[in-house]
Amino acid sequence: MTITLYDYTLSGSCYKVRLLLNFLGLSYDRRQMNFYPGRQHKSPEFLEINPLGQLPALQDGDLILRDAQAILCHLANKYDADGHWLPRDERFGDVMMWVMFAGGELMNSSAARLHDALGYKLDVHAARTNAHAAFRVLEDHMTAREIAGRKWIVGDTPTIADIASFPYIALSGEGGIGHEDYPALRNWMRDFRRLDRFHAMPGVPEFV
Amino acid sequence: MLAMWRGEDGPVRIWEDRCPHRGMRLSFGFVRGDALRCIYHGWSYRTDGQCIEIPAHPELTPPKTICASSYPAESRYGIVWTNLERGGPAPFPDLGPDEGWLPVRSLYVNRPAGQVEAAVESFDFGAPSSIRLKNPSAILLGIGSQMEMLLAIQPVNADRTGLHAVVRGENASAARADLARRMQHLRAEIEAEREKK
Amino acid sequence: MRTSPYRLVENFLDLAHLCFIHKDILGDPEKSEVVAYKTEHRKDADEIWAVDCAFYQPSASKASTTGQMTKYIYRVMSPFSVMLYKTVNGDPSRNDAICVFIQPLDEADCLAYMPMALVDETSTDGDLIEFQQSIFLQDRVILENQRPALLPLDPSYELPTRADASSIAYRRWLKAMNMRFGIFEKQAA
Repeated sequence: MTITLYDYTLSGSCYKVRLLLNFLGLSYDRRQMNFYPGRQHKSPEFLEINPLGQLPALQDGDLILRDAQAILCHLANKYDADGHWLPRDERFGDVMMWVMFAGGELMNSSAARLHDALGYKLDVHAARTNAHAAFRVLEDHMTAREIAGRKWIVGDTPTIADIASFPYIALSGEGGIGHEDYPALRNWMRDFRRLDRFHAMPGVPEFV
Repeated sequence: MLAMWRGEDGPVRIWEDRCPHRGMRLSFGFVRGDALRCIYHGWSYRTDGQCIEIPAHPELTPPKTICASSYPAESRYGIVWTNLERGGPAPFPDLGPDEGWLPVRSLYVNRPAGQVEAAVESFDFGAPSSIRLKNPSAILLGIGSQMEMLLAIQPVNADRTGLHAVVRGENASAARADLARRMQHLRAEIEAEREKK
Repeated sequence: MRTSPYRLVENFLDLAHLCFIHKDILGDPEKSEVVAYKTEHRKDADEIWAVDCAFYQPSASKASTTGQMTKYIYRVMSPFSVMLYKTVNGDPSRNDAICVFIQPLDEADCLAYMPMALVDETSTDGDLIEFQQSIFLQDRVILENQRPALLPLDPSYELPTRADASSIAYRRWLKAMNMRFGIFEKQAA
């Protein structure tokens, strides 16, 4: 069965999916979309794939999915038999809670980046303020995790909660949101970047 | 702005956050062995600041003039202290032997240092507390009869302050998580207050 | 981009960063040497040129499949505009051309436009755009984190080396034309 990813290299949301595909060692077809300046994600052909006109989208056999978080859940559910990335025990709810946070509050960091890097018209001050508020929530959580001797958002090993959260924290500088105030997030990002099969993307420096 | 790093040899170094070559922030760099390398062109700096390698010219011995600018750095009680005036030593308080300190957390408050300092002095850390020592950069609190908490105050700019807390004493290890949470409440309390002139 | 237009021009002229910032694409950290090249101030057109530049590249363009020594010629047409001519894989008679035209919005805030004319039989326009955008965003992290954002013209404030010959020529030229906009003036001690 072929997996096709409708992808844009510079999208942090697409990057989430590429990270998990890599961690799982899955091969896939990349359908490269001209997101900027071509707005191909708003073309009639792509709206057939995702009526919301957003990237990424994923086709897996007959199944077509949109939303990076849903795609992560699908891939982990189907291809990660031992539940390493999406545990099916008492950790499941906790993982899902942080996955939703990554697709929700953390997207303020994405908005600030779209404003600064691609010239989107939006309230960048509000986006930055809300992104900082979200970063604080995760910073406080990771501080408590550090004190408990843990490195990852949930449990003892990385999960899709870490994958979903990483891109828009790592890329936040592009939206004018620095990492200076978040020492626990910096430690966590360093550990994440040292994972086996991790790969960088433009905006996330290659060297750790 | 400062770049702090630690090579394999151990001690923390504090440098100006700027590569002497093209001004790139060294805090974006990466550590290899006992050297910090700038991410822009890979220039490599020894722990004393001297540039020892320029990848664009592998055969070249970098001239002595290429040297990162450093500040004093002292690790004491689990906190790193510096002096931005450079002339003098890092002004940490004398708390006797550097033993038994455990980290609580670092946290940043969007308020001036003076306001943070005042709030720390009257905050409820879960047991009757008393100020045992105070200098412009730190407050030592006695908490209950068993514990001491040291809070270093880092003025980042006119309206942002870093707080770095460590604790020692009996039960200190078990108290860390609770103290870290209380510091979140402290931050919320300070930021809810109107700014005082 | 939150930086001065000159930082952007210098980054575009810079060979030594390719193997760190564009690792595996435009450079290889194991082959980091910048061989000597020539810079010229062409007085007739009042332009700065850097010629005979060559650098090892694992994947010089979207069309390339193997590593190669890529030859570059750089041309600074004005303080805010720069372009390069670059070896075409398999056709020595032609060059790729890539320009950066910079519109300063403020001393440390600018918009960059990047027209390209590329010889490539296989890639789509979308592929080419995405390749160049990726390169650009890799540089953006650097450019927005240089301190100061404004350009210092005093060579003792930012120490150049031989590989920076084009940047040295560019800064001299800016100094000679008495450029003040976007230039870092050191505070008197």
